[in-house]
Amino acid sequence: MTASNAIEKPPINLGATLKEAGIAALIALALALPLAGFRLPDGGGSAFTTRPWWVVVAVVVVFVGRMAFALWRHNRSISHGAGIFDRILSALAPYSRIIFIGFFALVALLPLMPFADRRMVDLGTLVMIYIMLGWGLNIVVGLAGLLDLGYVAFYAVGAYSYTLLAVNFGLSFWQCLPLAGLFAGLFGVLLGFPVLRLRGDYLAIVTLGFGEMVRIILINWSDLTGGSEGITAIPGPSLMGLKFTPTPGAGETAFHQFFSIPFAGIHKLIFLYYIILALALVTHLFSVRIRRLPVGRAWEALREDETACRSLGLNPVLIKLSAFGIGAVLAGFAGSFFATRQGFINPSSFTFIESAIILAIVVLGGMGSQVGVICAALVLILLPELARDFAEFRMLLFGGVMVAIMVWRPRGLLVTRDPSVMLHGFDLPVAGTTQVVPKNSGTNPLLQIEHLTMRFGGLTAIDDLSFAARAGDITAVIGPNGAGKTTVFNCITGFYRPDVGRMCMDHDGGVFLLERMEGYQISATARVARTFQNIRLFPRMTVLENLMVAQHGKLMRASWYSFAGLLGLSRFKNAEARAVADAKIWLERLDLVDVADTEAGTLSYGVQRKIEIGRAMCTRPRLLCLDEPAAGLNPNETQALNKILTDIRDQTGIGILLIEHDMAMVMDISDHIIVLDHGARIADGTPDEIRKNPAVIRAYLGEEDGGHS
Amino acid sequence: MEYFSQQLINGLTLGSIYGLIAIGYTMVYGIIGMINFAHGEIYMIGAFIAMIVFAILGFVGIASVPMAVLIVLIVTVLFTGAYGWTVERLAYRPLRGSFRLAPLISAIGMSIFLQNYVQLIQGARVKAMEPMISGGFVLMERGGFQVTLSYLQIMIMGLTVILMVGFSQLIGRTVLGRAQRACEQDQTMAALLGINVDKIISLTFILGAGLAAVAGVMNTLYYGVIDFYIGFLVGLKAFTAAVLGGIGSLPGAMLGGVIIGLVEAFWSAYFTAEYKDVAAFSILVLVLIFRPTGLLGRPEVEKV
Repeated sequence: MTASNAIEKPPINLGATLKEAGIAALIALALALPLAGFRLPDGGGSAFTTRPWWVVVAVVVVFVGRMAFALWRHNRSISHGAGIFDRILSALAPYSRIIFIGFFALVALLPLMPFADRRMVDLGTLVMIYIMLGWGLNIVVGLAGLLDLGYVAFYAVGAYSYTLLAVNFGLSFWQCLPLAGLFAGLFGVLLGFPVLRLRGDYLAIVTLGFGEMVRIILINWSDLTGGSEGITAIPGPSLMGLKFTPTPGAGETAFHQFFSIPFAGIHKLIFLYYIILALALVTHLFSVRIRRLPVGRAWEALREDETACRSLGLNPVLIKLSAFGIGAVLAGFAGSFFATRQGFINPSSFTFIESAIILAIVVLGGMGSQVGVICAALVLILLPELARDFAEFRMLLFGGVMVAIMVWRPRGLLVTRDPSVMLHGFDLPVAGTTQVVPKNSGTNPLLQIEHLTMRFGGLTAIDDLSFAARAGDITAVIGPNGAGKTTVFNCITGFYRPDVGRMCMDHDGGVFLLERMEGYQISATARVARTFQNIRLFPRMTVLENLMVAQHGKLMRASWYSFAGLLGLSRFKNAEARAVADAKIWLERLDLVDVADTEAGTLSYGVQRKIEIGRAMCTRPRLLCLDEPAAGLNPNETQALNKILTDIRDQTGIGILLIEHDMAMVMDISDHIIVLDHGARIADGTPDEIRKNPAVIRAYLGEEDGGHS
Repeated sequence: MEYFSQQLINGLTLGSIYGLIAIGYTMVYGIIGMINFAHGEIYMIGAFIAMIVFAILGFVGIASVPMAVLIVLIVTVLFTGAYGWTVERLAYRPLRGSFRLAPLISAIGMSIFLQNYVQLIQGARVKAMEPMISGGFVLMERGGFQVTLSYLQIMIMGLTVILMVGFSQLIGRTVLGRAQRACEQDQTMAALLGINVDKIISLTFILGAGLAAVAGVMNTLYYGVIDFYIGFLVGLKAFTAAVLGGIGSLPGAMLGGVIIGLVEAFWSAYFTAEYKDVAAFSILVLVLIFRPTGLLGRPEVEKV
């Protein structure tokens, strides 16, 4: 046996490659012939010019490029493993701290270096504005997954807020800065509130529309905004009352006078540089910290799966609104800085292209990555500024880069994601708890369903269904395919609104009419948790993070809606430790401790099913609804699942509502079975009663004379 | 009354152009569920190609106006279709199965790219053309105010109606249309039944681009003035039209286009022209909030 395990590489099919390249060249000809081959005269007239060489060059370039691409792909196709880019990244990873400190020192000292001139300081300032905007948009797009194409509108609101306050009321930059952020944030919440329910791509278009509307209003509301001329003579910032001007007004002291140095224009630029550096640093620290708070985790969870979020009691609109609002506040800060730096503003600074540039920075850098934004801003802002001859190709490059990145690395250049919380290494001072519900002694069942009816068009999926489920019982809903079982679940958990019927949850927390509640409230207040037939985890979050998202409401209250968390108060830290401890109980029971810090999406099907049950239990439900939990499991796994479910029932005393096709399992663990057929209840009783029920046998096996009654 | 009638005619003409572009949005959305953000630029490219071909025909010396318009229509549709195909092949096809915002971001990139590409090769300044088709009927006249229906307007509306009927037949009656509707509902199943899904999607883009090209020709004839930036606003309004009519629905796109065209014409006439774009966007926002399925769209039921 030879040591070589390399697969013989087949020779490249030259004929086919030539043919492909030929076709590509033909298409290039079609693209280039009219549009590049002829140039229309500016203004009017019919004296067009012809440019045959442009067409020839385009065709040749495409032909050669297509050939080269085919050859490259052929040579690459055998080699496996990470690409060159990933290898560079992982080689740099151990030195990331040194690189970071070195980079920061360079940035902090840049204006003081002997070689730093006006242009360099000014460019640094410009890049940092975009870094700050990128970080702000990163919260909205990268973390919360809301594609905001009108981000520049908030930038504009910040800039005009500062300008109008400073010019009309004489407020200083430092007084205006928080106000500008506040206005931009309010504006974001006002705009966001009606539209954040929309699906991702609709939201993108609506925000784009908002961005354009703001610009049109700025142009046309001349009395306030100065129209397309804009506003000039905006006061610059001052350092504790010291102005950066050669000739200070009466009673004012200028910076150079105070320090008895000759006036130099660069002082102001350096001062501006440090202001934006400080603003950017604050933004960075804020972003890093908030990502690890419950609200940051909720943003990411929402990006991964909104439906699952609702089933865990998260209010999607509120969470999106917080991301939208915070992004707007940061843009407002950046906007007021922009206005004071420029000294003048007009609507042409706030076009869609500006939004697109900021988006390109976020997308190129890697959505959700702080460092990625820095790299992308350096490349995208600095490069065209340095290569002035190249400036007219700048936007062409932006567009091309956005497409190329999506095709080549859709998650961006830097895609590594640090989990917001890790089980391994977490110092747990407390032991976790699970809820224990006292054995149901009362007369009221936990869930009482009466006359539930649900129609889809002409189809009656559920027909006048009534049943009850008790705490401490496993209640199974069975029936042939299409009997309406999942529809019943979707009604109970608020995904559908039934046409008729009452669904009443009754436990010591109160009495809840589920048909009147929003989906997320059913989990958050009525305490009904569910799993999904086709698993819905947050795939790019770790198992522990999945379980932490389920404890969102509790953690939000403990962190005073993020304030205590941002300040790092012990109040939040303790609550977080308790939540991790509670999650750990379920990780232990479900045998998931080893994979706690692994991305959920990478785990096997059976493990994912268990995670979903654990996640649902972390919401501390009174009723756990399981939609075919045994589907796709092998007999051993089903056995283990039986044990898990009976343990949950016996140890916590909550009610379990189960849809399942695996009859052996249903008969094994159920206390009470409801049989559905064509949306109606045909039997109701203990497993033994159901087994003997002739109507059930008929529904499952059919009648000899055919057809259902 | 006269003023109203004139604005009605102008609005219907404008609406025809929007409607033709909106069909491209609606078909692409129907089949791959993405907003083809670059579609407005395809229309802009169509307008440029049309003007270039008109200029060439003038140079060659084709004097017959109907002949020239026919040639321009065919040539423009073909060349613009090539752009539609290329955009799909390069920017969207590699992203099938990627995360949900990826195609949209790619489309935005494509749109920026195409805009600047045209700006670079044709220059940023406005291009203009002498009107080719003039004259028309005077429908009403009172107090010196004439209500005219120009031949050009008749041509635009007539061509739109013909294309609309033809397209409905194409989608509703032919093998291609059936394959396309099948891909809309379930691409995997369609592929299992032997339909080349990639080919159908490519064809959808080519057809959409072809209609946008016709709209571009109409724009060139009607206004006679174009620049590299016209695709952005018109594209946004056509998308609004598609959403208003119910995205995925062909008659809806046409209806939405006509409504947007009328709103714009009347808004400019009776309120302020400066805010006519705000009016169009407001419609988009209101429709999406209160009736996201549009006027003729089918509701989407969330599957869990």
